[in-house]
Amino acid sequence: MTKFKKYFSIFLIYSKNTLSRDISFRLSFFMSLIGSFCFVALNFFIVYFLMQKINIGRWSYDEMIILLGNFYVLSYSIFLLFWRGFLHLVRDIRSGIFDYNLVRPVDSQFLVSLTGGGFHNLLSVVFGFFVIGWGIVNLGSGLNLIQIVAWTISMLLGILACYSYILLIITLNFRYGYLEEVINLAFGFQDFARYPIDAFSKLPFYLLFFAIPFSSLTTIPSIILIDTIFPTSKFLVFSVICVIFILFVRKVWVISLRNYTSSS
Amino acid sequence: MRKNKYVVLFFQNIHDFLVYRTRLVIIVLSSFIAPLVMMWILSGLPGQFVNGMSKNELVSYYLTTSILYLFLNSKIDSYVKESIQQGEIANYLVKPINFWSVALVKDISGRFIKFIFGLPLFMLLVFIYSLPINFELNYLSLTIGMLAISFFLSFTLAFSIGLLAFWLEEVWGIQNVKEVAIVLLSGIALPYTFFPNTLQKFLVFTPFPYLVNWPLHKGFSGNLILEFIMAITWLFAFLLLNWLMWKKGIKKYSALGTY
Repeated sequence: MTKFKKYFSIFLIYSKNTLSRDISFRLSFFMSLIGSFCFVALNFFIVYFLMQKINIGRWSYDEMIILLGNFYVLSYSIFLLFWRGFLHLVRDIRSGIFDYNLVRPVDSQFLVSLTGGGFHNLLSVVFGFFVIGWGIVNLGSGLNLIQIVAWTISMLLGILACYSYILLIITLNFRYGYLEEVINLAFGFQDFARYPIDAFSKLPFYLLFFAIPFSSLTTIPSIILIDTIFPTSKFLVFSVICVIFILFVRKVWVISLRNYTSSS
Repeated sequence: MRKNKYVVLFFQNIHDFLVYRTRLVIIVLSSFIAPLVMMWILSGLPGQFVNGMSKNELVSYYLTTSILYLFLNSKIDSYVKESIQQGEIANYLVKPINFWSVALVKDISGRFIKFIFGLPLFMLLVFIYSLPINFELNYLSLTIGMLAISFFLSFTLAFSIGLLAFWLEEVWGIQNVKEVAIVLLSGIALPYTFFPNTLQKFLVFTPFPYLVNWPLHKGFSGNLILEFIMAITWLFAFLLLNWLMWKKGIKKYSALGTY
């Protein structure tokens, strides 16, 4: 518990610093807000135009809106919490500044991950919750406590699994040198998460390997909110796989650190 | 014989890009993901036709869009922005070299090398989906002309965005607005047939249709001459904007110390 308090207070200190730095140039911060939010608009218009003309599996327009809201919450929470940390990590590995993370009396994975958020993404996360709420109201199905708890767990695990996946890709920098664009590739795969698993049913097997894990990050939380019968087995399988993956990436991180040779 | 300084710069840029080859491969792969995901979704739908387009047409649309996006979408705004913010631009002010031309050469070399790296992936996908490749030799010169207009239009638009760094601390937000507008309104995310009719008609008068897909979808509005007039008008408008912004911006620019 003391350890948790220590890490949480470090997280808060870094967050306050980041926020005060971000809003010190107000016009720039406002432009960043717009920059983050315009991708929200892009995704919304794509789904809107698409659903006017076609149907994706069993998914109605309102259900797709809920899925889109889940995508916003997942994707922008990662941007909100980890994006700047990831960007710095790649550069720090190259420049040798990463040494500082190793000599501090705090876990290096925590330091590189949670100490550089991007507060301009907060609006997009909030909008994600609004879109989910809007979809649920339009569906008229309502929510019970079990659904809310299960959704929260699945979304948190989804965010952590997606974070772990990006970190896993970034660890390639330890072995293969400077791969700055690797973050864009990692985030690029999130495109699969914009659509439900049903949308990829005709894909060849080797592509399903990419599509299903990402798509399930938003499909499972959406199903929890939409389905009248609680999807117990899907929820449990999803949770177990996420936990195993998160622990696996933690192990890979620890092993990868052995490949780091300071270039400073 | 002395080599032209811009030719030297072109090859120097190519060498610079080739230092991190894995990075280039990753850039190419990243730019293919979004169009391919949409292609897989639409081509996986039941029935032979999706919104009036056959499955083969859809696959062909997204594959050609991917390679054109790689070649025609300029990212020079990032370079211009960083040059202004970090003071590198001061180097060009004291040298007998024009910054606009330097940026253009950098952009040409960058897009050329990305195209070269993207071509094998494109060919592989064409092979996998067994798409026929038809070169319409009758329209070859027309297509090359359109490609050139699209290429320069994209450059001048991105250059204008980059020059905003003279006035703004952070241009990243506006860069995102530009990127989103291009992805949505240039037909990269969805073909125009998915858009409402009014929007389709309105888009002809904006620069977006001429930025990426135009060379392959000439006459999309039913009036090729109007398309040419609009594309050339926008090209000159952005060239003028580049010139005006540079003139005004350079008066505002101040650099401390040395780069």
